[in-house]
Amino acid sequence: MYNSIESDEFLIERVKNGDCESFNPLVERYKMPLYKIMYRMVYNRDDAEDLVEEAFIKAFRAISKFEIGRPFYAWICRIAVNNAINYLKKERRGQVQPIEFFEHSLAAKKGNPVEMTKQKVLQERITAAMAKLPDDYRTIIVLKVEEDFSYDEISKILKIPKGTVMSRLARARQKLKGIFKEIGVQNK
Amino acid sequence: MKCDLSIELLNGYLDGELDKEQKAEIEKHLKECEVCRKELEELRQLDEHVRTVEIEEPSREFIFNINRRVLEKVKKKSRFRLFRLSPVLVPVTVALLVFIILININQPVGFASLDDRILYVEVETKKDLDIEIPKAGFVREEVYAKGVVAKEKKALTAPTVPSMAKARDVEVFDHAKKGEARAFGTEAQDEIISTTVVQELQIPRDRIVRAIVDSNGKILKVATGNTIIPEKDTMLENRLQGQQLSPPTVAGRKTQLYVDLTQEKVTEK
Repeated sequence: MYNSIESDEFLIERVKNGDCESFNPLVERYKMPLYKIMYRMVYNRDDAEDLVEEAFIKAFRAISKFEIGRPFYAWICRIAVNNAINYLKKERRGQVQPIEFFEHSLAAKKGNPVEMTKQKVLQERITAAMAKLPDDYRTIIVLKVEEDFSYDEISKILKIPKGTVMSRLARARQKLKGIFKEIGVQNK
Repeated sequence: MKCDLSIELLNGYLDGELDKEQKAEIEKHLKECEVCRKELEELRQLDEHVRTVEIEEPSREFIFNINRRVLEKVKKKSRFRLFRLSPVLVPVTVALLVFIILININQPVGFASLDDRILYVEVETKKDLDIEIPKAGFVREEVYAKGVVAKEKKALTAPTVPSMAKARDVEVFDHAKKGEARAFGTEAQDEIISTTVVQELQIPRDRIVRAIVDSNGKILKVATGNTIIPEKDTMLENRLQGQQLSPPTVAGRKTQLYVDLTQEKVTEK
């Protein structure tokens, strides 16, 4: 059994040498950060959990390609985010967009503001605005704003040039600002 | 009022991604441009809004069991690693089978013809089978060799035998019939003086006569008839049974034989 002191590199080396159990601490260490990213990309708990599980399985199967010395979290994020992007492309066709769910939810609650605090309403509106963003814009905002990855890391995760990261992020923020205005998210 | 500053640079400044020169330039511009200051503030607030969004807590199943589920699936998949190759192996196998079938289809289909014959070459030369057949007439040969030995030998009159033995035996018979003193058998007979008395078996000439002769040359059973189907003739059998002929041999070994003793054929010759 390994404790949390063991470094990612040590554990990955063990996994590469055939010790499957050494993958367990890595799952334990990164399951929640990955869940947060996945949730913000798909806005569905069950889907986010499934995507995290798939990401770990894919990472395990590709562990031989991982270069020791590079950040494991960025590597597995890349796997998880790409998996989620593919999921969004495939699974969302013909299905109800999350934004519709949020808009209905907000519409129902607009008439009864007593039931929720002002902060709760604001959060739901922001969530609705995020869900309304195109997938690639939402992904890049999640990676930068919520996960605070550098442009370099985002560039590697999304396999796009660093300049594209900067421009896409700028456009994504402008788009989100527009949606905020549409649905009534006020600046503080 | 509009500003010419790139929105990308403003985002880069916000994210701390600009180098020192760019950063100094932006900071200098921000001191002079209220629009850009306002824009930058809006971006900061937007980021803050995004960060305040709470996420739905994951299920207990996820929190407590994801490790076990991942490991189970990982171990299961590594156990059946061969099946992961199936996207490659299956098409390759199918292509190989199709290739083999196509090759066989292109082969000419039809009945076997003369061209399909296979020539067999017999490497080992065929050995002649040496057969000694008893004769229908028997020769009483009185041999005087240094005044001691007297032998009785038989001569052939029924050449219904394989062709190789036939010619030789007929010749022997002719010599015997003429009463010539002659060596017979395989032994060197140069020093032997013999007189030969030919005594023919009394066999009806117009009938097919066959006999079973034992390995010592003694007639055991006799069959007769004008057809190839044997009939029993008790009188003829009583007369011939027990007569001593030369012992039949095959490849030098004495053996019981079924011998054709018919006279007619010899007469014709």
